[in-house]
Amino acid sequence: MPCLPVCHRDLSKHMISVSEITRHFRSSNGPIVAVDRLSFQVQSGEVYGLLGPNGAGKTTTLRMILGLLSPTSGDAEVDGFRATREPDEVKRRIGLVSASSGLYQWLTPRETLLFFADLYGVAPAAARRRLEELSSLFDISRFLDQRCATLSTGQKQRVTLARALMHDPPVMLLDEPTRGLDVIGTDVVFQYITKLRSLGKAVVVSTHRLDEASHVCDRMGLLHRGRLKHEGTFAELQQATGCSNLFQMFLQLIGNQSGSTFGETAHV
Amino acid sequence: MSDESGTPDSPRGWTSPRWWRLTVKELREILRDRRTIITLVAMPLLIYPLLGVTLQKLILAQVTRTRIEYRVALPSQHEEPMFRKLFSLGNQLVSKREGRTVDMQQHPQGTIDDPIIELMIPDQEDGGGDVGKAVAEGEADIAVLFGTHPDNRIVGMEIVYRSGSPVSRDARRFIEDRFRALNEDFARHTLAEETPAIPLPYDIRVESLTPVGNQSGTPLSLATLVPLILILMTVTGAVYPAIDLTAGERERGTLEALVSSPVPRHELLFAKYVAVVTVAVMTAVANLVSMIVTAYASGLEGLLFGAGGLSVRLVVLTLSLLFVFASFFSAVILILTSFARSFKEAQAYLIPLMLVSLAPGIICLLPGIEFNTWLAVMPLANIVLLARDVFDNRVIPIWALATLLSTALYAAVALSAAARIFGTDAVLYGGDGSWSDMLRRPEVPRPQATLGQAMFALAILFPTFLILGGTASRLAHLSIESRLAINMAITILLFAVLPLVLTRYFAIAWNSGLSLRMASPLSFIAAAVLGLSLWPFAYELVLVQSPDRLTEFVKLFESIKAQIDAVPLAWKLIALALVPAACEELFFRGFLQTTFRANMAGPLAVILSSTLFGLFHVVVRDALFFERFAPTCFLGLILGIVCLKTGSVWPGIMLHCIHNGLLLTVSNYTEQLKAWGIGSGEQEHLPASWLIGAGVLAMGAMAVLVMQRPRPVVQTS
Repeated sequence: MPCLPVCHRDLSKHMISVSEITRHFRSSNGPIVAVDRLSFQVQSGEVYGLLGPNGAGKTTTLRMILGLLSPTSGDAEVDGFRATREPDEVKRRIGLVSASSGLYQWLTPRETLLFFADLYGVAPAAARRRLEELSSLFDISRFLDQRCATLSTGQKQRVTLARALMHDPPVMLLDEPTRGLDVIGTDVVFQYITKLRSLGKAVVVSTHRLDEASHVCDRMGLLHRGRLKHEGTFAELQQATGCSNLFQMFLQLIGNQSGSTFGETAHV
Repeated sequence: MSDESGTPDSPRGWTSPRWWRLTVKELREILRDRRTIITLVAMPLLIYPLLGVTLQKLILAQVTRTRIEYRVALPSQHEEPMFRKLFSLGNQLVSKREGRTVDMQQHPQGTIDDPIIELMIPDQEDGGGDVGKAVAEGEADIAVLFGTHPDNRIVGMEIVYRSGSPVSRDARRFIEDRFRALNEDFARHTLAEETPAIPLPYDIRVESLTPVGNQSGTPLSLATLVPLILILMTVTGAVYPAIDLTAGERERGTLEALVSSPVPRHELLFAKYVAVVTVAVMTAVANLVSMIVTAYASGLEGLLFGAGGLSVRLVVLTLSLLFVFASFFSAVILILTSFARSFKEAQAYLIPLMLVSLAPGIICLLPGIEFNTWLAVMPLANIVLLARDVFDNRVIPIWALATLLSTALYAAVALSAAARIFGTDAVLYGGDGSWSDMLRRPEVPRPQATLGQAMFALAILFPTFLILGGTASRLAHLSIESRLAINMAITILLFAVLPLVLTRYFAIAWNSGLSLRMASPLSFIAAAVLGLSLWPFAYELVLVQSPDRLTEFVKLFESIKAQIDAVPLAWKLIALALVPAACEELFFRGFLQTTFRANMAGPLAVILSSTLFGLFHVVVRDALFFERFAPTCFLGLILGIVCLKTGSVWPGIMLHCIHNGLLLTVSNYTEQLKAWGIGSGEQEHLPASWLIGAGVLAMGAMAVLVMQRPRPVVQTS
């Protein structure tokens, strides 16, 4: 597997800094607090896991970091740029992998990847070189010129992962990256995250699959109803909660907060 | 990040702009989709040949059917011999006149070209029948009644027919022609026997006039339908790509990845818009080509393309109209599809739009519908009417201009509205957005309006200006003071109240958004000098144009000149100098030019605002006077430069007011001036010394303004 260009960065610097970020949504039943005064930081070369059940506010947080959703209050900074003030600068520095992101059915992976490189301002020659590198890395060379509609789920997933890296961003946001994938697909994502760490990227992974989080994340934040309940390394969380695994931690967390309603625990 | 990425490398040589590269991707995607190909190619290729063959078969069936038969009802057996005799004589006269000779021995019933006349005589034993009733009930095509004198001499003839039945109308014409021919022949012979002989026949010519104002007799023909068919097919071509590239992308999940990139949403939408317009125009071209080929192949071109037949001019004009229409309709569709969260939702929005759009299109094809101020600014209806007029070769310039301008403005506004909702979180994530988001007041104040907001203002202003101006010109029965007051109110409403309301609504800062800051005293002095010295040049610009048109223009105002002369000068100065100067400057320089300046280079902003200023002055009542364009555009350029250099509308208001006021004052004292030997001849060039003097003054004033440091402009983000 050829190496990608390694960036030289000050690892002591916080690449992502989220401070007191809050987001309300209106609904027919009144306002909903999706994210409530959430704060955390991620350094370059660090993988941070945003963990929580469905509806905990993980995806909303990632969208606010990316500048796709404007926070009701608070802000997020990426490489020193504020998401609310300079969203384009923020977007330029982020690669997004989302389970809901699709591919253009009538374009080939080559056309798709070059198109996204162009969107991020990568010059054509550099984009072609990058394409070659990522094609080898993700083993997508043999179907580069096939229409995306004809690819298998696993092949599409690899193209999606490559797409997020076309502009070589220093920050990666992965929103439920293993949703809908089988064991092999999940393993590809794990390798991908490990690779991102080795490349010095600041990575935020949101997931409700607690088993996989403990494998790949350096630090984790446990979210419930938009609020950060616990944060730290796996060992620190074990110490803080007195639980041996993340699943127990969550049962305890949800039980304390909501009286262990079946509907809510069932999401975990 | 590596050196190679993150920011675009500086390209060596020319590279296409990003919006075009985005458009190419959209086109590549949409043109590979077989559903697009079906709409674009397969539909026109199949539909027109099929329609052509059907139409041809129908026409052939009409031509080759058995001989036409007219059923003529007579009141009784008694009239039959008389009818047969008179009809036979009349038929021979008409055949002779038409240069046909029918051998009645060989063809006792006439040739294949002659209709068969079947006489229907009611049974007398049943007490006879009502022949009128027979016609009304469709048993007979016509009835012929003879009016007789008591001595059985025929004194008149009445033909009863059904006006709603084409066959009945044809039968009436056929029989009437024969009997009239008899009458004429009889009259000719009688007159020829007179002494002295009357030289007959006179040469009678009949001329068919095409009324411009009222065409109530225009029948609904196939040629009238062709533009509507083409417009509907163009709409069909735009619908699928518009849905697929917006709501479809959202449904497939690619939209999130797209808006996560550092490309402004309006640029992403513009690329999609260009792609949709391109596919729509391609569909229009495919339809037109298929229609032309079918028409030629089946010999129906005369039927489909109007009296003038098919010509390159007609094709080019039709395609141009379809392009304008596609630009407008694609933008409207994109508003709806950008808001939709799924393909199905978009379809649900578009079906009512298509139905609503059909109504004005079909209504405009009804006989007797003609352009008026309302129809000229009514979306879709105006394009259908203009296309119909293009086919009839009777385009009226003012309505064509109003149609094109209003459609272009509506397209710009629709695109701006679509850009406001495309890719918003409400649409992307099914949040709390609603249609009201489109008109939501911005939370953060802006230094200037956006281009979209300027287009929105123009889109409101232009049709309202046409409608209110047209209505005001019909108030001739009111006193001149009242009419001046109404005109003044319209000017204030459109050119002052509108920009002020929009500035407030869009949370635009007053001073920077309307250039309301105060200018230096020197600027006011220079503006005053310009106001006094510009009129000779404006006057000369009018004179260099066509004298005929100038006379026409002068005539237009001569009718009200006497009335205006009776109005006190002070009232005239307020109504025709002060108010127009203040209001027009507020809109054209304060609102429009300031907005343009924040988005483009200063000279371009001045040229654009002065062109619009000139165009608005071209419309006088419900006519176009392009002669006014050059002088008003010239004045607009100077006013634009003054505003650009001073950063304020106030010196321009003074300049504009002095310029108008001076012309009014001179007009008020024409007689006295003539008595002093000034201005004795009309349409006469001014003395060179006047022009030189005015030129020196104007250049001096401009130099003062140019030397001032231009005010910085707060750039719109």
